Amino acid sequence: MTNLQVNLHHVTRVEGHGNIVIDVKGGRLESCRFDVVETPRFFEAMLRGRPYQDASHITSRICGICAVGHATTSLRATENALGIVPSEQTVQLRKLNFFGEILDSHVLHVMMLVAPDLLGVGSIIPLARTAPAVVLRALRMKKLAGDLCRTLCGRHTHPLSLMVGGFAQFPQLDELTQLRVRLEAVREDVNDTVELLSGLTFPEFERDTEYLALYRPDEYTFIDGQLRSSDGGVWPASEYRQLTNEYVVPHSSAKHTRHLRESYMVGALARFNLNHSQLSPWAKEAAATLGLKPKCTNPYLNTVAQLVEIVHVVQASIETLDELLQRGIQHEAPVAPARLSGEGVGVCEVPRGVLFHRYVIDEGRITAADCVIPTGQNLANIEADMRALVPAILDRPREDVVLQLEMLVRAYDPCISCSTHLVDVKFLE
Amino acid sequence: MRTLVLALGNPLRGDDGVARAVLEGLGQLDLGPAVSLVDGGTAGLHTVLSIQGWPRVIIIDAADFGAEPGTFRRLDIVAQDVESLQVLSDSLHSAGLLEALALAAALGEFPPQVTLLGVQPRSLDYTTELSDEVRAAIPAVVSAVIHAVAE
Repeated sequence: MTNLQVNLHHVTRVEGHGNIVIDVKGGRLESCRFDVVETPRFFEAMLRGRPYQDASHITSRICGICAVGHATTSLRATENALGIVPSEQTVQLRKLNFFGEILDSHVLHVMMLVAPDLLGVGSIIPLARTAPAVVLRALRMKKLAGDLCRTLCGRHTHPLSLMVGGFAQFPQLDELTQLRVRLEAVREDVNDTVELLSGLTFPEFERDTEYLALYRPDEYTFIDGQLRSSDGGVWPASEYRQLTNEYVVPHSSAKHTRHLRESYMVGALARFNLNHSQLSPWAKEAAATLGLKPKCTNPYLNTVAQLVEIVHVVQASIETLDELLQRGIQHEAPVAPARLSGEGVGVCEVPRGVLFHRYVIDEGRITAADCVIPTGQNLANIEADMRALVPAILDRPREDVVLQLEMLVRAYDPCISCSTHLVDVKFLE
Repeated sequence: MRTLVLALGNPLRGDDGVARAVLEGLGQLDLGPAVSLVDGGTAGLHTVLSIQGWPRVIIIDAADFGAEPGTFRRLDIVAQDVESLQVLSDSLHSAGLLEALALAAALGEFPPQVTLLGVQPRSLDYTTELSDEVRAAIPAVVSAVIHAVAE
């Protein structure tokens, strides 16, 4: 096929509105874009002038899926700005809450959004007819993840009890014990899912890129750490802007980023590539069953890396619960700020990749804020993948080209509404 | 018959809280051990798990059918009603009751009896208060639920 025009408005089974635009003329790729047409959100401007205690509640509304991720990142930014060191119990409870959200988000993506593609059906409804056990399993796992979050932070999404310096309310020991029983029971569902996906075929496409993820020497980290690149190098989180280098492109209301190459990738595959040695033995076993090996350069396998992380967080949740149950829950007061003015960066690995919040606080009020969201960081990489992929599959039928492109975008699990926070206004004179 | 009475809606959105108010009214009565009253919150795909396994489900929700505020209607739904609907065409991130019922039907988990009691809202504004018309309708909706339970 020497001429091909794809103008796919509104990619389905992703969060938000994005369009794929491809134009091939005479065998030459003239344009290849992933347009982000979602309305800008202006969260950073909303934070200015607000008391620091409000920031986590406001920014958790950036996303209905990774609200705990935004809240936790926000709290860490504020705590770093105001010299607050949370207690060990707070760290453990936040971690457990975070695992719940990773589980919730990954189950939604792997089993409800991507599985229909792999099983050759259009959506979860026909999937429910042909493979009801898979869909019921996904619903059960999501329910458990939601209940885990609710027990820790007061509700499934948009946490109530997470606050600067600690928790406003604590889970009951019997609730934690029940969660532990259910997590043990879900192991079978997790193993069945690994078995299911190990038998499915993913598109073959390799393109090496730079992978960025948080790193901590002591664990497969989701909260706090240093930034690590697959091209070499470690940076403190406070210097994130050296890595993100945000810039504006005309076709997207979300900014793009680049570091050592034209683009980089964040998310489960980046974390797996950089931190695989820290996964739990069960998760490593799952990776082996699924045939996922570092360094993996097939972006479609981000979904497989998410499944490996599902295994990891189920195991890590059980272990964290054991520690909490053994130690008991102290109804401790939140740690008070050491100062009321300062600047701080919070950094977390939320489901879709590394997330940054940076606040400047003056006498308890936020005067400046910056949030760099994973999907925004992946946009340039998605386009670089499309530029490499399209010429390689041009000889295929048009519908297949479109499906491969849609599946590529979907593999990144983009959360488009989260990433848009910029509007480009031009004044004509 | 074992019956689930499921209230759906967001009480922070004005008349969308009508189902919860009806549920509170029902909570003051003795409906017997076979009836469970559940606040299902905002509907989503998880609603499938709430209705799964019940021989009879009575759903209360605000529903815009263009009538006078406070009017309510009863609709008995069978799996065939929702099976052929083209739902979930784009995002799963904003699924509601219809998607949940369609998914339940596709899974073969659609309860044998599903009754929807829909109350026409006046306003879905950001308030915890019900409108006067919808508040006045609560006793009648409570009676309709009791009637449906007794059938």
